[in-house]
This record gives sequence, C-alpha cells and structure tokens, in this order.
Amino acid sequence: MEMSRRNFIKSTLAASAAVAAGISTTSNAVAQSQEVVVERWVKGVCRLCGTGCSVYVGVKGNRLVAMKGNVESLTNTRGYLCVKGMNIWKVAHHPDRLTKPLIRDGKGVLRPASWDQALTLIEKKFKEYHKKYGYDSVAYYGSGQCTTEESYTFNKLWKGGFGSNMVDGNPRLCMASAVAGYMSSLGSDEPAGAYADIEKSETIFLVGSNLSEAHPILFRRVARHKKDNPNVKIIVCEPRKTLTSAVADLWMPSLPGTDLAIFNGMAREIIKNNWHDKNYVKTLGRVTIGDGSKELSWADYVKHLEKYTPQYVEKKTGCPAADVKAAAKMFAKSKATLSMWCMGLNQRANGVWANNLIHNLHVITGNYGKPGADAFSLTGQPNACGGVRETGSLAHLLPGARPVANQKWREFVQGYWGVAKYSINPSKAINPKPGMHAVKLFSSLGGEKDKTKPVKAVIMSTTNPAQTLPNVNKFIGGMQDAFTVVIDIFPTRTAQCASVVLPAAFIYEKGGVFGCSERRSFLTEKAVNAPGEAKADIWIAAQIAKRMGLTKLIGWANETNIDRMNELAWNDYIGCTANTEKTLKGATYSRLKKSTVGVQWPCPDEKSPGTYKRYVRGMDPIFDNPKRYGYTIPADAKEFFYARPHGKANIFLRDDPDNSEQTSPAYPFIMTTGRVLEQWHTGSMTMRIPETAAAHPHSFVEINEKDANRLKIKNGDIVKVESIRGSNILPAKIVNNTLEGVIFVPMHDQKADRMVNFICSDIVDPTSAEPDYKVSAVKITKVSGPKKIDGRYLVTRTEMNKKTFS
Amino acid sequence: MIFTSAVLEFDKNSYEKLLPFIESHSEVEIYEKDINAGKMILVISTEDDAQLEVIQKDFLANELVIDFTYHAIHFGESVDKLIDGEIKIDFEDINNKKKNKPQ
Amino acid sequence: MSFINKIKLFLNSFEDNEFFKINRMRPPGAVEEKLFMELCIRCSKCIEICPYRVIKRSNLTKDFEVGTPYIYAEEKGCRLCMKCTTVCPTGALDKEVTYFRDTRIGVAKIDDTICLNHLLYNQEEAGIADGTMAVCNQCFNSCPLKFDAIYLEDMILPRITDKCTGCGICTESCPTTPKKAINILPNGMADIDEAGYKQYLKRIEKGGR
Repeated sequence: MEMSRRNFIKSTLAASAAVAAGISTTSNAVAQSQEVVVERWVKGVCRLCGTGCSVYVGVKGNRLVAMKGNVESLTNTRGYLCVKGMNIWKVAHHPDRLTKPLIRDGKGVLRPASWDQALTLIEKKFKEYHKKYGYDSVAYYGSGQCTTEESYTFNKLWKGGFGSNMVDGNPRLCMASAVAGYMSSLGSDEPAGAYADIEKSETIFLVGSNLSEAHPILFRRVARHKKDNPNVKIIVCEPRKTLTSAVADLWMPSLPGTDLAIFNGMAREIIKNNWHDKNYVKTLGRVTIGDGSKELSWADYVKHLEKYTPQYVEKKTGCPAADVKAAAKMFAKSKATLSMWCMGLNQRANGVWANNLIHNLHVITGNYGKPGADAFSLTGQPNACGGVRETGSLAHLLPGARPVANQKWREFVQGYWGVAKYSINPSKAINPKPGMHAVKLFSSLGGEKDKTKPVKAVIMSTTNPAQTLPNVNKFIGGMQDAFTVVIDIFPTRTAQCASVVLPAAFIYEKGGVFGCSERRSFLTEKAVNAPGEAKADIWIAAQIAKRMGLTKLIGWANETNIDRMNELAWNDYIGCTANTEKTLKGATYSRLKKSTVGVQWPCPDEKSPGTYKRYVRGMDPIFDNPKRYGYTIPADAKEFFYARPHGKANIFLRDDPDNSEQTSPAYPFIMTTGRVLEQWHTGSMTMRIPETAAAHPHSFVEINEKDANRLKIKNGDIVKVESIRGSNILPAKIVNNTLEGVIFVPMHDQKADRMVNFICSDIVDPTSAEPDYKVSAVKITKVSGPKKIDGRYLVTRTEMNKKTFS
Repeated sequence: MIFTSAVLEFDKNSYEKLLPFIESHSEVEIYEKDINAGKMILVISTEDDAQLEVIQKDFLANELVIDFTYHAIHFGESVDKLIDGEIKIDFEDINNKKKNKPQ
Repeated sequence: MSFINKIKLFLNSFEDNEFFKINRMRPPGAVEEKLFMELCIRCSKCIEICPYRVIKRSNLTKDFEVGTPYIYAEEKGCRLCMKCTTVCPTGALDKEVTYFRDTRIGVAKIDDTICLNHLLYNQEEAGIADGTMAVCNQCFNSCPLKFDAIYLEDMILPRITDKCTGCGICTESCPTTPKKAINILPNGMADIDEAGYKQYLKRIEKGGR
C-alpha cells in the first residue's frame, strides 16, 4: 500500500471513531471565545433587544469568530449576555446573506443588478413620483435596528431635503404609546431613571412585560437583586404565568386588555388608605383629563377613582380583589418603587392611557427622583430610543423628539439644516403637517394606477412589515404594487414584495451608535467588511442624496469612508439637539470610541459624566442652565419636571373602555402575542442559528389545559386559530399555568400559515396609532392529530420571486 | 498490516503524564484529542491481532487510562490472506478476554 | 462459521455499541427493558405511527436489540402525543399509559459543569466576570411540562423534579456543543444504575471527577 492510501484509511478510521466518541475536529468550547483564536476584540453593542448589552466581537482575519460580554458594562453588568446575543454574530457569515442588489423584472423575478443600475432606477422613480404625485408620494420607513447616524441621515434627507414628513418606522408598532405616555405625563420622552434603579429599589412592579424572555439580562439583575435583598418585593401583573411571574411575591393575573382597571384600582386603594405622598402631589403633581390642557382638582381625581373598587376590578380583569389591595400596599409603602413595562402596555388599543396610569401611580406615591424609584418603559429594539425617537425619525417629530408642529423648534431645525437654501422642494421649508404613521402609510401605499393610494414609493430598512403589520393581509398587495425598495441582510417576506432589494451591511460590518432603553448611547466600531457588495445604510442614503441634488444638505454624502460618514452625521445630529433636554453634545465620537460604558443624555459637554437621573438638581445638568434649553426652573426646586409648565407631572383621569376587540360566541377566545427568548422578531436572523432555534423552531398555540379538554384538543394536535381577519394552522401546546379563555401565539415564524399577524387585530391607539397586538378575538378548531412540523422555515431567494407566501 | 481505531478515555488532568506513555508505543498514533473531555482517538498499526492485544492490555493496565475501546478495524491487504486462511484471527479469544475485564 | 460471519459477530459484540446509552430511550409507555425485549416483535407500528418521526429503528445488535424502537433525544425528543402506546400489539408499550404527564420514559439530568446557567451562577456567586457567560433557559423554555417537570432555582439554575417524563425535548434544545448539558437517563434499561453512565462511573471508580 502506498503511504497516501494508508493514511487515508487511518484517517477514515479515526474520523468515524471521533464522531462516535463525540469529539469534534474543531474546538469544543462551550463559550466560543475561550478556545477559538481571536486576533482582536472590537467593542460594540449586541444587535438584539433594547437592554443594550455591550459586547466585544472577536475577529480573525476578515471573519467574526466569537463574542463576549463587556465586563465593564453598566447595562449588562458583569458582562453577561443571553444565549441569543452570545450567538448573534454567526449571522454575519451565513450563506443566505444578500450580497448583490436585485431588481424585479417584468415576470416578477428578482435579478441581480449593479448598484449603479439599482440606484439609477430608484432615482428615476423618486424624481418621477415627486413630479407626478407630490413630495409626499415617496416615503421612508425605518427601524429601531438601524444606527442613529443612518436614521438621522434619512430623516434629514426627507424632512429637510424633500420637504416631506413621510418618515416613520417600526417603533410606531412598539414604542409609540410609551412616547406619548411620557410626553403627556412628564412632558418629555424617555425614562427619568435608569437600570441602576433596579439595585436600589425596594418594590419592583413588572407589568405588561415578560422580562425573563424579552430582556433576560435585566431579569437576571432583578432576580439577583431580590436574592441578595430578601426584603425586596416583586409584583408581576401579566395574563400568563411565565418565568417572570416565578420571581414575583405577587402575581396579578389580568385578562388581556383590561388592566387599566387594575391601575386605577390600585390608585384608589392607595388614596383610601392614605398611603399617597400628599406633599409630592401638591408640589409636583397636577390633575388633568383628556389632552391635559384643562386642570382639575384632587377631589375630581378621587371621585373618578370611586368606580374602581377591588370587586369591580376582580370582575373586570380576573385579578382577585385581595391582590389589588396587596399590590397597592407594596407599591405605596416601599422606600422606592420601580415599575418596568413593555409591549403588554404599549401594544394596546389604549396603550397611551395604560402608560399614563402607571405614571399616575408614581406621581401620587412620589416614586420619581429618588434612587430606586422610577416609571421605566423598557424598549424592545436596540436603537428605537437613540435612532428613531431621539432623532425624531417619526412622521410627527423632528430631532430632539420635538413635534414638527412646534413652530419655534421647526424653524430652528430648518435654519440649522439650511433647508431654505438646500431643499429641492419649492416650499424650501420643513412641512409643518405630520406625515403618516405606519399603519396609515401602508394602507395608503399602492400602485400608480390606484387613485386611492397616494403613496407610490417607499424605501425601508432593517424591518419586515410584510410580516409584522397587524392584519398583515391588508398590506401585502400595496407593497407589491408600489415601488418598494427593501434594504436587508437576508431574504424576508418584505423583500418578497419588493421591486428592488438592496444588500445591507450587518452592524459589525459598518459600525454606528445605538441608544438603549436607559438613554445610553454606545458606539459599535466596524469589525469586519461586509460580504459581497453589501453596503451600509448611510452609504445608500448618501447616494440617494447625491442623485437627488442634496449633497449640500447631507454634507457627508461625498465621503468614501463609512466611519468618517458616521462621525460627520453624528456631529450634525448632536449639534442640532445640543440645546434640547436630550443633548448628547458631550458624547463626541472620540469619547464614544474610548468609552466602555457609553453616555447617558442629557450630556451637554465633554466634562459632563452623563445623567443617571433626570429632573433632579445635582444629577440633571439641565438645572445648571435651564434657559439654554428653553426652560424655567425655580432656584429652590430640588426636583422639577421642567418639560412641563410649572414643572408638575400630570395625573390623568383615565377610564377603562373596552376598546380592544371583544370576544363573542363566534370568536370566544382572547389571543395574545409575544416573544420567546430564543427568537428575535421575524426570525430572519435567529431562525438561522440552529443552536438557539432548537428551543423554538416554529410557532405554536399555548392553550390552557381546561380549555383544551373541553375542545378535546391534545398536546401536539394541529389546530386552526382564526379571527375575522385571517387564520393560522398551529400545533397546540397544552399548559396549566395561564388563564382560561386566553391563548398565546409567538410572533417569530415566517411560514405563511403560522404568521400570527394574519390574525392580529389592527385597532390602533387613537393618540399614538400603535396597534393592539395584544388582544384579538379568535376561535379555535381542531384540524387533525399531531403532525410533524418542519421547523426553522426560511423565506429563500427562490421564494422571493413568488407572489404568494408559502 | 491491520489498522485499528480506538477511543482512549483518560483523566483529563493527567494528559501530560500520559503522553510519553502513548508515544512509547511506536504503533500508536494520536489522531484526535479532546483534552477537556478526556478523550483521544488513536490509530494503531499492527502486523496481526496478537500484537494488537498486547497493546490493548498495556493501555488498560495504565492507571491513568479509564478505558480503551476499539471502534473499527481495517484489515488492509491482509483481507485476502484472512479469507485464504493464511492468517487466523480468533474472535472468540478477543471476545472472551473482553468479557473477563471488570465491568 | 464462515469468516465473514465471524467478522460480523465480532463487530457486533463491540462494547462501543453501548458506549452512548445516554439519550437513547424507549418510546413512552415502554415496560421494563428485559420484558420489553421479550415482548417487542419489531413490528415497527410505533415507528410508523409517530407523527414526528422521532421513534427510530435500532441498528445496534448487542443483546439482539436490532429492529427495536428507540428515541434519540439529542436529535429529537418525544413530543408526548401518546399515539405509539395505542398501537403496540404486544404490550411492549403499555396501552394504559395515555396521559402524557403520567409517562416515564426516563429522567433528565443536568451536567452542571457544562450548563451555561450553572456556569454563570458560579461566576456570579464567586464575584468574577470574564465576559463568557450567557443566560440560557432553553431546556426550561422548551419543556412541555415547564414549571412542573423543570423549574429554575433562583431564576437561573435548572432543576428537574419527579414529574419529568424524560421526553428529551430539553436535550434536543440544549445549545451546548459538542456535549449536551442536559441528558436523559433512560428508564427501563437493564443495569438501570449504569444505564448510559458507564463511562462516567468508570471515571468515578478511578478517582476522577
């Protein structure tokens, strides 16, 4: 035998033995960062949830090879990551990455094209539609997963360059109610406190949040805080008994959509027992109703609450009367109470009111300002705060999160941007009228021939509305008929509807700033190059700016280096908002590059450390020079809600109307939707990571065992879940730890008959226009016995050429 | 030439001590190792099965070795000789010896 | 016996065949292993009826197991639909076992030296932080008897209770590689104390971990 044949035999023998013995030929490290050879670690933020965990990605050559947490972080303290975040870097080198621009031909097939061809087509269409149908016929739909620099650039391009406010983003679907809640209750968006309040709190009120799965690292902080401090009390108000409620001292169940009664009920109980902070109410509270213009009296408020007896609350919500009292006591009698909430309160027909009522509880008990006390709205996406809310990239806002309708502010931004000189819109001004919010935008999007659809083109990035809009069937046709440009890293349902698909760079391939829930902006530096011809969004915005004649407006459009482009955009942004209460003027790029903790606004200059707690003298730099920001603060005021006239937070009289979709004999179940830890949003990234997708490779419907027995449905049976809008075919998961009459379906599956948004109600909050994803009336029918489901369904390049969703 | 692959299980802390012992057997090559899991894949090249047995005995007698099990044997050119009866391999012997090992 | 048959017999009696008994279980409702091997006629009805294609036909030949049904939890766990117990003609799978919570295929066992949550907790308790720790609840999240068969002590440490059915979905979900941090000790195997843990016990014997 020749030597090579001998070696071949030996290697084969060894290989099969290795497989049997469970030895992989590469590293077997559980934590990849330990064994893999990493040449350098690059600082950044996790790509996923609004916690804002900071990380280091490990690079070897031009490849990401590992990830580890930043142990100096103040968000994910001790550098913990969740298993999803720890693996997200693997997405970068996945073979399904889009690497070339694609243009849909006359037969509906997406064909590879050059950037020049794609951009020329976009330029042609935009110019044509601007001329034929007006500047509002072309829209931008952004995302809380784009960087701040990108969102700011597109926002400026549209509002300053095109004179159009047709800019909205997916935070409309998740945070809009929280924004309106903060604006109406406290006068300014975003929390007063920070995560640091967790470790200083005595009572934590988790409501409308499955913290353990949606923000697992914050849950770890909460659980650890309780373990180390047995006197800490945790209340969880949620319709499902999740892992989150396992940490609770008190679980308050509530039927989805009814909890407004609970919050009013708790307030009533607090006041009845004299547990409220009379002094705080007097100096820092103001009773009001409706839009907040008319002031009412404390007596009016107390009278309003009379209806919400514990018995009334129990009847309405299913929450035991005794629990309402117990919760009220824990909330009011603690030294410091921290509330945290997320989509359970925001994605509701009365989401803004739900937010107001939580703020009410904090005002009447004096739970702002002091360490450990705050009404803290958790953000879902990594950059909804920094990139969309703070840059004002929504239809009714401008940078600094101030309304476009505010004439003084609008004129300032107009001047700062040089709109009068550079805009291509003959009006040479920023449009004072807000554009369309997400649901309205996509309802108005359609083909040229359709006169009922005034929006003819949309360019969107890093979001997937063809899967995420509620009652999604209503919007798919419009997206297919209009001139739709989609920027993304993978094939998605939305790309399947697009006229042009542009390959995007992943966060670690382009760098940029993300601002998380606690007002903390953190810079991710570019670690590796993007694959193929994929490009950063900011480069795409720059090309459009150039072609549309807006290089003076977008001064960084002619840069070739992305890092330089980002920095110039960032400088423009922090210059624009330097005199707002959200100032990040002190967060220069060089500071962000050096910092391992990021910067919390307000941060007016480089010496300022950033702000842990707003509205408190000595901690909030706005107090040092209020005039600069357009505020007046009495010299003796220690705590002051300066964004509100007279510095008083609003206590709102709010009812508990039944505005969510109501059940009926035909549709007797309430369907609520939400997340699972292992998946992110529409699964385009996480379904491509087998290790984590293994826990939830496909959607299911969670049914209470008693309901299942009545309907003769067993574990694994295939079930049809149907509303008046559409249906899904899902395997049943029988549980005994959730409310009867309530079912739960996660949101992550791409398979057409498991896309829950075909079923979801499209009722929106009247103020914020945020959809009520949490309450839909459905019926359940058994389709068959158990069947094998092929999990991890992914829209492929080939499927993108088909008109119907499989 | 007979080629045999075997899985060697050892106490992971004694890898350094074990290495010279393995290397002292010229017929034995280490093909894969997972020190943290205390496993190694060895390929042993011997003229016949008797030699193979000696090596196996030797390994099992070593205190640092937890287990030594064959995975597969390739008889190479010897196949023809085996079929013709030129070489005899007595499987019963190997089997019995295995059964007598402490379980 | 012809030479070829000698080889076959020799190969089939390798101890390696029971090398990885962990995560190799009988279908739900299986009777005690010795009795199972007497009753199972390898008709494959349970394999055919399983809607998830989780029950597989064994090709191991030690103790004449070939053709008998096994579930390999590392690939796919049992979804507890309980259809297989209804079709076994000989009672190797007890047809009285119909309620999914009552079945006992085995019991899950966590390896706290690999489990991500255990590792994180250890660092947390020791006050060290090296950035490699991840919060993972995949076994807990995927368990069909979540909260009953498995719970998280201190919201982080997975613990198994006596309600565990041994379905193996946790093993299937576990993200650690190459070894799973949670494994199923099958019920009803001969040598029940050693079932699947032969090597582990040998190591213990030799004074190792």
